[in-house]
Amino acid sequence: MKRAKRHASPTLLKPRNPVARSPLLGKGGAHGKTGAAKRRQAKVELARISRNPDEIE
Amino acid sequence: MNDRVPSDLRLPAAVAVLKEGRVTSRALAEMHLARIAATDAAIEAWAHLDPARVRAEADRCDAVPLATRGPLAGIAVGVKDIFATADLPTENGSPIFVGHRAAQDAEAVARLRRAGAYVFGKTVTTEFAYFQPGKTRNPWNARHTPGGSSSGSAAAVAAGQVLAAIGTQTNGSMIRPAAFCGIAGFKPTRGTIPYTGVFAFSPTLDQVGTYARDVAGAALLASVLAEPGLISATPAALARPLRLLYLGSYPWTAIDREATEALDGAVTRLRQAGAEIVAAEFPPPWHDAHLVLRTIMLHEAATGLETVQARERRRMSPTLNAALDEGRATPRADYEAALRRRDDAIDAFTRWLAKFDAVLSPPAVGAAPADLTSTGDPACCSLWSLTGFPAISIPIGRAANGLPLGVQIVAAQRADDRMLAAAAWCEAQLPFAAMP
Repeated sequence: MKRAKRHASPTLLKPRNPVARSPLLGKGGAHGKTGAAKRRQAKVELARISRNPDEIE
Repeated sequence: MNDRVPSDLRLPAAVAVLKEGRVTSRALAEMHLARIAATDAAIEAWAHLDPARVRAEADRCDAVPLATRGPLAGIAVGVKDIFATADLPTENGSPIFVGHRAAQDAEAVARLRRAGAYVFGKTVTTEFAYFQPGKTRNPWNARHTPGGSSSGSAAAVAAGQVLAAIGTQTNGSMIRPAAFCGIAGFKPTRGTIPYTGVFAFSPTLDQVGTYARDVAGAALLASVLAEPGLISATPAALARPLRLLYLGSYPWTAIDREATEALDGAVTRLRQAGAEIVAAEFPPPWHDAHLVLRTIMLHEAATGLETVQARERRRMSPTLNAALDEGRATPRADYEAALRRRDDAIDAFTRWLAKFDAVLSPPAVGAAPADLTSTGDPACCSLWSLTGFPAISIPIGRAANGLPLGVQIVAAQRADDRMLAAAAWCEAQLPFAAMP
């Protein structure tokens, strides 16, 4: 007979660190971009502009 | 991005998108480095280039707040290796100066930095900016010279490795490489851009100039380097049709057939577009103008390099030693007479040009020669270097062998803005989009 999984007792959970920094805050909030994303965007934008400089106002 | 295909991006457009923050200096630097990796083995435009330093400089530019950025913020500029730079060697194209470090930047380099640009690397120069070639080859065909003495600066811009570069001209060192490499090369009125901190071959004749893919880019770069108010950042639109002189040849040299045909064709198209163009004969009293320049140039070079040559003759090329020996043998009285002739030439050609906006003439006797032991003939530039008049070369077509041909546009001293406006209009009528 299959035995039921044993779960740890709720009392053994470590308490949440109240001063821990959310990873979301590291990129300027939920909609901010990471440094890598910004670099990627600049590269894509440069490639687009390089192909068609006339679109620059 | 395909690094084997050069970008169509021009300097003014890059300045605009960097200023808006749409593109980072680092992304632009990476594009330049990738293009160099793809092309420079055949061209060898650089005397000193450190990719790690380039990336650090680009990141430093990106850290500057948008609101406080200068007019060339984040732009990488190739600098001829006779400009003193505090953070890179300055070797003057000579084994005598290998590893030499200047204590401070040349004034032109300092102005670049103050405008927010950075030195991408040092570009190859001929030996002491004279005729002995460096390692650089023409981006259009590596068996051909890129011209000199600003060889690396012209080749790097032509190959799309950087958007802008600076160089110098004593005889034909800006205009000729621009013509051979198919880019815009601008030499402002002598003294417009300070020469402090640049190796002096002939203090009476030496001038700083700029390279970009087009007239607007060359003008923009020069406007930042020039004394305030002398060069506008953007060439003005014409208020009336141009009046131009067409000087198809110089009495001391012969222009080859292809170059003449290309120039004649350009003149026809400019006339059709509305310019009034008057064919001119070269004024007979000045058939020796190239010799006047030579007397001044070599006498001053011999004086300036006297102690170096006395100590290091064996590490100088035979070409340079012969030129310096010739300059030293020139009597002082001949040199002083040549200086007086120069003053007279400035007056005479200022009067000659008074009723015209600019002169159209060949920038070189033909396309870049298939010869890596010389940098070609500067004969078409000698008069305008002697007088210190502003000149610009723009590409107008290609020879049968695929190498570019250009037109040189010249005006009287301090008419730089008028000349640039004329050049921008001519460029618009004679579009040249090809790249190596």
